[in-house]
Amino acid sequence: MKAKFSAKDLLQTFLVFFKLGIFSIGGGTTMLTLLQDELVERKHWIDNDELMEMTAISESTPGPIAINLATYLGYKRCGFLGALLATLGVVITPFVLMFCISLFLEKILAAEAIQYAFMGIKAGVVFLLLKVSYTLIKGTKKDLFLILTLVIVTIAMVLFTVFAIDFSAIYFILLGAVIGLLIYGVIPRRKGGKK
Amino acid sequence: MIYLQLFLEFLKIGLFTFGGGYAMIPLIKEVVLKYNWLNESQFLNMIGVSEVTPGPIAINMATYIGSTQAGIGGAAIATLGVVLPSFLIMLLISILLKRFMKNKYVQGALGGIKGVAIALICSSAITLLADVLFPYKVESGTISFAPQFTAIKIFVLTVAGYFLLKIILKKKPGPIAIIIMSAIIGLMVNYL
Repeated sequence: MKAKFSAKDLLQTFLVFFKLGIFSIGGGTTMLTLLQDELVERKHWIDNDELMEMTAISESTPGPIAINLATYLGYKRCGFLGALLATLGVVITPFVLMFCISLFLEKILAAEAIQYAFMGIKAGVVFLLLKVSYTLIKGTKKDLFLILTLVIVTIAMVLFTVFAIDFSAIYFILLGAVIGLLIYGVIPRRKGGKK
Repeated sequence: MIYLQLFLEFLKIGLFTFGGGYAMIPLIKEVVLKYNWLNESQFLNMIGVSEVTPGPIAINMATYIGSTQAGIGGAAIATLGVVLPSFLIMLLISILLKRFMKNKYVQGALGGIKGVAIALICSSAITLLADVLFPYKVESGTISFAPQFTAIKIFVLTVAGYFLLKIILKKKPGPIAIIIMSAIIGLMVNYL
């Protein structure tokens, strides 16, 4: 177990998530766009499908999504130590920064330049999210079930948000898991059995 | 005593909120008001700052509240509390998944949630687009929009900048480059 992961692997795991911790402004979804770029497109640690499956699992387990994803990906890469380092990496910058901010919050809020920069970042994050949505849809294998899920859930979630209806995404994820289990797991096996 | 209180309250928040940082906001509000840690307007300021500082919002809020109540030690212990449940639960899931990933039924279920996950990202992209560029109000069943022209200008310039960089550099600019670029555009649009 000890010799399985080199110090270089561990350091790399920490550094990747450290970098994500610095730039994931606006929470879990921004982090997701960064993860997709860094780990899927550049480093090839995982593919889009696995990233999406893990995102859904992270949404259905307690706690911040960024922590869930860091723990999973760190573990996958380098076992327990990897999970620990990835989580630490993603937490450390926000922690230090927020601690400093907490000492003089009101002054920072008043700074005009900071407000303008964040106005820009917000618009930038909108573009990032649209871009990653497009990449994910383009990259996934589209069968009828996937297309239906995509259209129905997207429309439903947008309407729920606009009309402030309190409906947890977990129900959609659970439903998706059950239907997926039937369609992909049980039915093909039966068909195979008949032949 | 305050350390234990901070740790236990944030442990509870970390354990019982599903769906990430935004789901935590009502719970944190309840706790914060109960103990008089912050008043309502301080709480709103904190959320505003958490949204624009790097990192998970849950971590930002735990650090901030811990720090204002009990200094650096309080910040550390509140953050530990909010992270610990997700870390342990996800670790367990990772260990199990590694063993059962190839199982047909597990594969089927994972395939089923994939579409939902993509849809959730699409829907947050659409609602954020509306929030930032065309803030909407719902009144007695009708929706009215109030376009934010500065934000739209920044958005269009960011998109244009992205494609320009893509052509000049002959490779796609990463998300970090896009974030930095949009911050600069935000400053330029407001000051020039």
